[in-house]
Amino acid sequence: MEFFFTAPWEPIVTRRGDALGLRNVSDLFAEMVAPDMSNRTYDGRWVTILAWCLCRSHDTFFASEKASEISRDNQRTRYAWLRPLELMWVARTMQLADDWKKRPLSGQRSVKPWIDNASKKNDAFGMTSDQFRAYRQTGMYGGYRVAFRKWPNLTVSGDGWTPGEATQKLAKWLDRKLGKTTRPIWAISDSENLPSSRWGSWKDQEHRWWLKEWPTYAIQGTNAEQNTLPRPRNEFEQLPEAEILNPIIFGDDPSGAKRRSIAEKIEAARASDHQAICEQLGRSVPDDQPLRLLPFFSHLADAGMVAMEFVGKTLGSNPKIKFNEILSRGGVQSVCAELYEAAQAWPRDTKIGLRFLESIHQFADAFDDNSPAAVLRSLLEHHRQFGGGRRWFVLNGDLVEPCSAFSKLPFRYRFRLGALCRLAVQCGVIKKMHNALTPELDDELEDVVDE
Amino acid sequence: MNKPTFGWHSLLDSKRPENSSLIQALFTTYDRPDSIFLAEQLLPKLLNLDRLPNVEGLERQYFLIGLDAKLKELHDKIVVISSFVRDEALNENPSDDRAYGWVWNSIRHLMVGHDRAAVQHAKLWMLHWQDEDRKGQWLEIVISSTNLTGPAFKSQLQAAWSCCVLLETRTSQQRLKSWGVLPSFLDELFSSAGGHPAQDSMRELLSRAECPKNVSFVASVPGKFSDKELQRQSWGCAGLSKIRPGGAGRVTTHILCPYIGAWDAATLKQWLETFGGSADCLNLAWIDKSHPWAKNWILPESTRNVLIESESKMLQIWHDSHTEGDTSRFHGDHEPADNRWSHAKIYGFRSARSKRLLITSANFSPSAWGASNGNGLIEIKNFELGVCIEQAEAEFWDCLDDFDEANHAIVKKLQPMIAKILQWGQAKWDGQVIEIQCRAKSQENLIGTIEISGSSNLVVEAWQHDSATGHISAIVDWVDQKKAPLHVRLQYETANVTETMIITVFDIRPSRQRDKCLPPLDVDPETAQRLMDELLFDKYGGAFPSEEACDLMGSEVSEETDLKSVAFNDDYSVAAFVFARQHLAVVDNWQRALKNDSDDPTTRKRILRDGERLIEAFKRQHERDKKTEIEQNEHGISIGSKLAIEELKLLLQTFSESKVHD
Repeated sequence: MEFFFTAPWEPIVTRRGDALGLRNVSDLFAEMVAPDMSNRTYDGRWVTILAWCLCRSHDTFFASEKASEISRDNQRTRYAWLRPLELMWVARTMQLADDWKKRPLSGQRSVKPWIDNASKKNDAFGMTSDQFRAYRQTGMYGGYRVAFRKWPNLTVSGDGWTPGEATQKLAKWLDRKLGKTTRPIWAISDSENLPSSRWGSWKDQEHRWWLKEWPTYAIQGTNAEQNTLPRPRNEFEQLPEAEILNPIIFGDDPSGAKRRSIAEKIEAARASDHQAICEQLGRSVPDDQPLRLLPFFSHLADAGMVAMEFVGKTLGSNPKIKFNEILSRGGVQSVCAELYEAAQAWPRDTKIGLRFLESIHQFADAFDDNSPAAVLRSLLEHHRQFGGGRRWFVLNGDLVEPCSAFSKLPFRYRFRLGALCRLAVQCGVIKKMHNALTPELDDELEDVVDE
Repeated sequence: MNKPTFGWHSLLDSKRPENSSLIQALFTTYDRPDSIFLAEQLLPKLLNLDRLPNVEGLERQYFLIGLDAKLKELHDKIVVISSFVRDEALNENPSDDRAYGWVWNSIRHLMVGHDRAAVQHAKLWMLHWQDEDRKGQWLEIVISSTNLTGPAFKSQLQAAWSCCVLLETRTSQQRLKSWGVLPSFLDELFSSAGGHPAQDSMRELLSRAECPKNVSFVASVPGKFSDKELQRQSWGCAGLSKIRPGGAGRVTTHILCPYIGAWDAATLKQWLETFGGSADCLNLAWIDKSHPWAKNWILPESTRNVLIESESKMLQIWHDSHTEGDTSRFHGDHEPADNRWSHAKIYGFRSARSKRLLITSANFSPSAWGASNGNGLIEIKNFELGVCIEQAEAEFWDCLDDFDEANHAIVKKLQPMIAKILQWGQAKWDGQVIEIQCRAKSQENLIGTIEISGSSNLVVEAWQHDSATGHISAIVDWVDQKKAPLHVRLQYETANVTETMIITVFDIRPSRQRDKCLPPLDVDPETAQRLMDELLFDKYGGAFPSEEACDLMGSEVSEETDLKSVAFNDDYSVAAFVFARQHLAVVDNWQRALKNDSDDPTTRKRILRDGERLIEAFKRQHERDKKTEIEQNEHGISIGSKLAIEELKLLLQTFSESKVHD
């Protein structure tokens, strides 16, 4: 028995819900234009860093586990050796870059106090056991796992774990850039010279092993900023390792070629905003291709989300407001008219085959009356019935009441176009990031940055 | 021997043995339980869920289906008892119940106040664990100041006591007695909640384990009690007389509570006298108006004046986020920057060298401890529960200084307890009708709306009044087996008063019908069914789509790729053998589980039911495999699932026959 005060507890961050239940469709369109990526795959430098982490942790995993292969059962242990490296790179960046807040670093909120407080150095990077466990999903590798499985030669047979030829090449490049002063003392892929350890005793303490054996992780080295650190979100420049990354991300394989072609189309597009880019992409394919539907969907989903935000802003921090109060606010006419118009424009009679088409039809069909009251009622009812995850607010009789998960941040359904173009710039495939996609990139990042 | 002192860790760190699984649980809470907190934070830990709720795509769908499956296994075995009537302001906004409203179809949520008004303020967890090989069972008990809400964990600092005791196979009255007032407290609590079989099973658990040494329980239950009754059963302040420290001198009392009730001098004296205390030896830890907890802590001015006049001491809890040394800390790990406010309720009693520490849900208020009602009876309004540890001490008392001026202690008006129109409610659905019962002071102006998962709301058309029980009830038809009712929203509205009560709907259909309901998923029904099948296969060691496949939400569900091609992208020539081996391994593991657990009838029944579900799942798998054969021009893939169906059918027949022979 024991008695105690409760220690601070941070719930694992929960991602925002899918307010209109259209995420499946937007993911489907994203696969058409930027296949085999996730929204979080947007920094080529992290591909290089994670390649290095995969190679480095590969040997320690096999030394500790004495396994001959990576199986379903030992994937957890495999990740346990990778996770500390991800977090040490987060910590390294935070210690070396003054502008670390501008860089994609999952877990920075926990890592900061861990860096600042020397007495906590044995803790798991300042994370609770839940956060540490969840890092497998919320951490950096979680954002690039699809890439490491699907992009050519990154992992053997696309298993996501065993470094392939391309990963090794990237890892060796980064190891050289780190230099002897910074990298671990044994050379990369030199399992013979791993520090000898009683591996069994490091189970669940893998982070302590890495901190002990790689004490120089936060040493600057030559040109560390340019050659080793994750890039700031607002930087759109070619990377020094572009030559290695280019054939991996924009190679001749079907997906790579698709990514290259879409990036080039976007660069060439004379479009002023995201919707205009979608329209150009839609027009670039034959009439029977699903991508033709992209601009209609984008218009409809954006109009829906603008209307959702209008309700949210009117609600503000009130515990409830009358539905009529929303209708009396300035701007309601145009918001509702836009949504009604987008719903009418949706091609209900399309012959194009697309999974989840029914859910878009359902959303569009909900708006059969153009009065603002009818539009907003239909929107809130659709949100209640079909919204994924938590609801933002709910209509109870004549009152609109907020739900706890209501996010006041703007959100739009997006298709990875911003992430794709940034990677294309970093790899030298295109010269300039399209201005219309910079805010989109911020939208995509918002979900994962935990500042 | 080391002096027992406060530790510092999360309430979610269970003390149960590794690899144990939950058999049943009871939780009590004051605030309405927060279904998001339960579903995303507490239950995944208690139910050993592998998947995480906080991700997108298929991973989240697996999480939802996995949680739903576990809750269905533990249908009616997790009970939460809470209060509707409140005497404190709600500090945080109630959370949205809609995302996880379906968990209440399997978790029984009861409210106190079935027969008469009652406030449920105790925070008790009783968790019944069993280890993996079913050889040992444990009872974990947690008594704290923590409600079942997200803010209670995130924004508040709590005090808690916990123990995990090994359960003997047999029950014993002697052992039950060792728990003091706790079994009777459970009886009163369940009775006020309208009764539930968990009352007997929790009592039984207590009778299978000895209470830890040097520990006793102090409880309050609502009611009006004569001295004689309180001698028989020491509720409220009468319980304090049982834990008074030894020694002849006066008892020095220390109190740390965020909420102080309205005490007058006579009531305070009466409270102190029950355990040999006196007002001039009473020390109340409190804050000044600049303290960040000021908006949450309540002390009526009249009570402060009573304390000052009776020469009680006010000890100041300091706060200065900039100067570490100037901030009072409850523990060595309590950082000055910790922005949680203290919701802990701790009482220290000391007489010479004899000490008692009480960790409880009870605020320092007459509602919690009871006070004379003027008719010679002691009236208690709340259910409260605390645990007293002998010779334990809270060291932080010694670090607190007197207020320079006791007048600087912040005061805040008590909110008068509102006489609620709506007082109690429950609802259940048997697959045909939803039966709603409630206790309300008026049937007029009562509107009932039933929310159904994935469907439009129903409105309650007519209410019946039962003069014998005083309950108001309604019966509403609902027969769609795939869409379960989630909750009933009762609204009482007049020009002057608006009250809303949310009553969760418990699903009392047979398990076969319950299985047809799915939680709201972000995938189409076909994919949802496939995910459910995969989780069932996984339960018996079947192949599971790799974690990476879960990230491919977009491509995974597209026409271009399916899970099989993800799993076997480089090695399709042997797919037929691989699938056959995997499917037959599931059957073998199921058979093994049935043999290993043949002694336990409940488990055996569940595994046999899983056998039937596996057959259905393999039939669907067979159809999917045939489709894949055509699409991928690959023969033999569907053989494995067919073989598995045949073998399972034979095995089920054999086991059923052997049961008949037994």
